[in-house]
Amino acid sequence: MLALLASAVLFQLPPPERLRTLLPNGVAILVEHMANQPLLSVQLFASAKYSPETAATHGYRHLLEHLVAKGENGNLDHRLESVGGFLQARTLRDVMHFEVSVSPRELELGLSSIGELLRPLTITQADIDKEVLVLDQELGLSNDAMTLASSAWKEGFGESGFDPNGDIATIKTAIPEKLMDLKAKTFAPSALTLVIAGDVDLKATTRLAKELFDMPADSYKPAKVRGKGVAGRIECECTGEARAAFSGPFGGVSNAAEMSVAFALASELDGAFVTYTPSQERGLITLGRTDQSSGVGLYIDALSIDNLYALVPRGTALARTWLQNQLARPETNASLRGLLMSQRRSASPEEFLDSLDMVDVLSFESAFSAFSKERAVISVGVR
Amino acid sequence: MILAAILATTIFPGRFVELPMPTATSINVAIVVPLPAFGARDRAVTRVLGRALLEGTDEFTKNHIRELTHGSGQSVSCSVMPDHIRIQFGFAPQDFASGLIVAKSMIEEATLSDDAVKAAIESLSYAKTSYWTRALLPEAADYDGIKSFDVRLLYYQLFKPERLSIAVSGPFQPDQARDYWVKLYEDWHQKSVRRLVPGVGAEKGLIQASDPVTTIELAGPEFTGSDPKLPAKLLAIYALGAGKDSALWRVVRERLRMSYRQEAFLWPTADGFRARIVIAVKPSDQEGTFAQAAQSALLEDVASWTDANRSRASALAQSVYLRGLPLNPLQLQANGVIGVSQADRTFMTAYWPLKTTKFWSEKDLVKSLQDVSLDDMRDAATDILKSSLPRVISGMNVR
Repeated sequence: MLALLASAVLFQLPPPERLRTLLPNGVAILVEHMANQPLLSVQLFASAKYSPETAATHGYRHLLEHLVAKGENGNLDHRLESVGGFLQARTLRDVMHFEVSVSPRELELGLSSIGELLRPLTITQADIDKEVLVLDQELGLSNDAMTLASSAWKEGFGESGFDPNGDIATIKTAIPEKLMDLKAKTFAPSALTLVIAGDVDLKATTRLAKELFDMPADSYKPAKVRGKGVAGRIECECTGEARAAFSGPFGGVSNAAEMSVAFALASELDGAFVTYTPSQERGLITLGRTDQSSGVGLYIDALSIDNLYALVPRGTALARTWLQNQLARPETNASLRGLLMSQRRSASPEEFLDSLDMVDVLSFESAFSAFSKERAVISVGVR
Repeated sequence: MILAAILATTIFPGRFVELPMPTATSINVAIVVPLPAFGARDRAVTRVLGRALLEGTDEFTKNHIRELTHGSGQSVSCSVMPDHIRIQFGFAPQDFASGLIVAKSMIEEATLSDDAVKAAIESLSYAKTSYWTRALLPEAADYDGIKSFDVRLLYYQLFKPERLSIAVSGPFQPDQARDYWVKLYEDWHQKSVRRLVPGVGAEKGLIQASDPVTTIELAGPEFTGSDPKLPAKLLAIYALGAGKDSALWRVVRERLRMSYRQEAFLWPTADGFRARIVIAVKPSDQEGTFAQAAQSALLEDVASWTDANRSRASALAQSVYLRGLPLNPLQLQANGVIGVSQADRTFMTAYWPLKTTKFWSEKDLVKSLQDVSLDDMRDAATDILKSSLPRVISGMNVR
C-alpha cells in the first residue's frame, strides 16, 4: 500500500527541468529544458585542471582556444552563421569555454559543431605563426578594468594567478607538438563538461550528446590548487584603482556575502565595476573604477559601520538579481552551470541562492573586511 | 509576451506606449528624449545634464530612486547619445504607482542643483572610457564655464511633454499604465522657457587616446531613419561587419592580420544614422596606411559577394532580433549591444518611432531585411565604403 502511494506521488511530480549525466569515462553532461526559449545554447567546458598555466607555457591555452575554435576545416563559423548560429570561445583561468548558439531546430548542428572541437588537432607551425599575429593584436588592446584585475591576480596568487590571455613572447615559442599535447590534456574526458540549455527534450538530447564522447577514460592527475593567496599592493600601467577580495568556493555563505558586499559597494560608486569568475577554488572578487579620481579605497576605508549595515539588503538583493538574471536565459544559464560543474560535478548555482538567504549583518561585515587594505589586494593605476 | 501596445495621445501630448508582459517579474520604464543637431557647447551641457539627472528630484532623493530600482535588475541609468537621452529603470510590480511617480518626477522636476551639476562636471572630466567607447564617441567636450543655470535651461527645453517618448512594460493589465500616466499628467507643472536654438559652440576637436591602442574608422554618409534604403544598409552592415564570417573578420583580421577587433555598425545621428566601421589595432608606424588598405580590400571582397553572403547576413539578423544573439549592429548605446531583454525592448518601443516613424517590431524589421536583394545589399556596402572618410585616433604616444 505504501509502495503504491509512493509511486502515485512520484507519478504526479512534474518532470525534472534538467538532467545531469556522468559518463563512465568522466565526461559530465547537463541538459536543461527551458520552455519557449528562442535560442538553444550548447556549451563545452574544458577544465584547466590537467593543464595549468606556467611561466613556460603562459598563453598556450589561449592560442589553443583560437586554433580549436576554427573547427575541422577552418570554416565552422561560416557553416554556423549561414543558418544564424554563432560560436564564441574564451579562455578563463579554470576552463576553456566554447559556446554555440543556434535555433532550437538546429540541435544537431550545435552538437556536431562541438564534436568538431573534440577531434584531434591537426596544425602546422604556419597555422600557429599566423594565429600569433592575431593574438599579438588581441593582447595589445589594453583595458584598464582588465589590467587592474589581472594585476591583482598576479600579485595575489603569483604564477597560479596568471592572466589567461597569456604573454606574447611565450606564445611565440609554441610548436605543434606542444599544442597537441596540451589539447589532449585539456580535452581529456574527465576534464570535459557539456551543457545544453533551451527548449529541448531532456532524454533525447542527452542521448544525442552522449554520442559525442565515445572515448576511453584518461588517467591524468589534477595539478595543485591555487592556494590561499596573499594580500598586497601592486602598481600597473593603467588608470584607476581596484580592491580585490579573496573569496572561497562559489556558492558558500562567505562567497555569497562577499559578492553582496561587492555589488553594494559598486552601487555606491558611480562607474564602478565588479569582476568575478565563479570558481570552486579560491579566487578574487575585484571592485574598481577606471576614472582618474577613483576613490575606491578611500570610500571603503572610510565607510562607517552604520552605513555598511544599511547596505546589507541592497547588496543581497543585487546579488540575487544578478544570479537570477544569469539563470534566465539559456546562454548565461548554461555558462554558469558549466563553469561550476567543470570544477565540481555536483556544483550548482542554486547553492549560491541558498547561501544568500543566510547572509546576515555579521557575515556581511565579515565579508566587508575581505576588502580592507590589510586583507585585500590593492591594484593602483599609475598612468 | 507583448499583448498590446496602446498609445495614449489624447491627453498626454508626448508618446506613451504600454507593453503588458504578463510573465515579466518587474516593470520597466524607458524615457527617450530626442536631441537636435547640437553644436559642441550644447553637447557638453547635454552630457552634464545626463549625469546630473541621476542626482535626484525635488521629491525623491538619489538614494530613494536607487532603492526603488535595485531589486529589479535594472538600476536607474541615464545615457546620452548623439540623437537622444535615455533614462531607464526597473522596479517591482508592487511599486507600480511609485515607480511611475518617480518617472514623472525625473522628467518634470529633476533637482539639478549647483552641487549636482558640479559633481557631474567633475565626474565627466575625470572619466576614463575604454578605447572602444572613445572610438565611438571621439569628440572632445569642453565643460569649462558650464553653470547649473545652463543645465536647468536645457532640461526644461528638452523635457517638454510633447517631446518625450515613454514606454512602460511589465506584468500589469492592459490600459493600467496608460490610465495611471494620464492621471499623473493632470498635475504637470508646465515651465515656460524660451525655444531651443541648437547649434551653438565651436568644436574642440577629437579626443586624445589615453590607452596604447589605435582606432581606425571608416564613416559613411548620414541618412535619415525614414530612408527606404535603411534595410539594405543595415543588411550590408551585417555582411560587412557582424559575426566571424563577415567581410571585416575574413579580410581585415584573418587575411590582412591587421586587427583582433573590428566591427561595422549603424550609429545614430541627430538626423538619422551613419554607417561606421571601426578597427582597433596595436599602435604601429604603418597605422596611417591601414584605413586605405582595409577600404580597398573590403571593396574587393564586396564585389565578390554572392547570395550566400546575403543569406548569411539575413540569417544572422533573424537570430539577433528574434532570438537575442548579441551581435546587433544597431549601435544605439555606447556600451554593449541592444538585445531582446525586457529593458531593451522597452527602450526600442520608445525610441524607434521617433527615428523612423514606425512602431518597433522585430518581425517587421527581419521581414524587411529578408526582402533585400543581393544587388541592393552589395550596392549599399559599396556606397558605404566608397564614400567613407577615414579617421584615426592614434595610441602611438601613450605609454
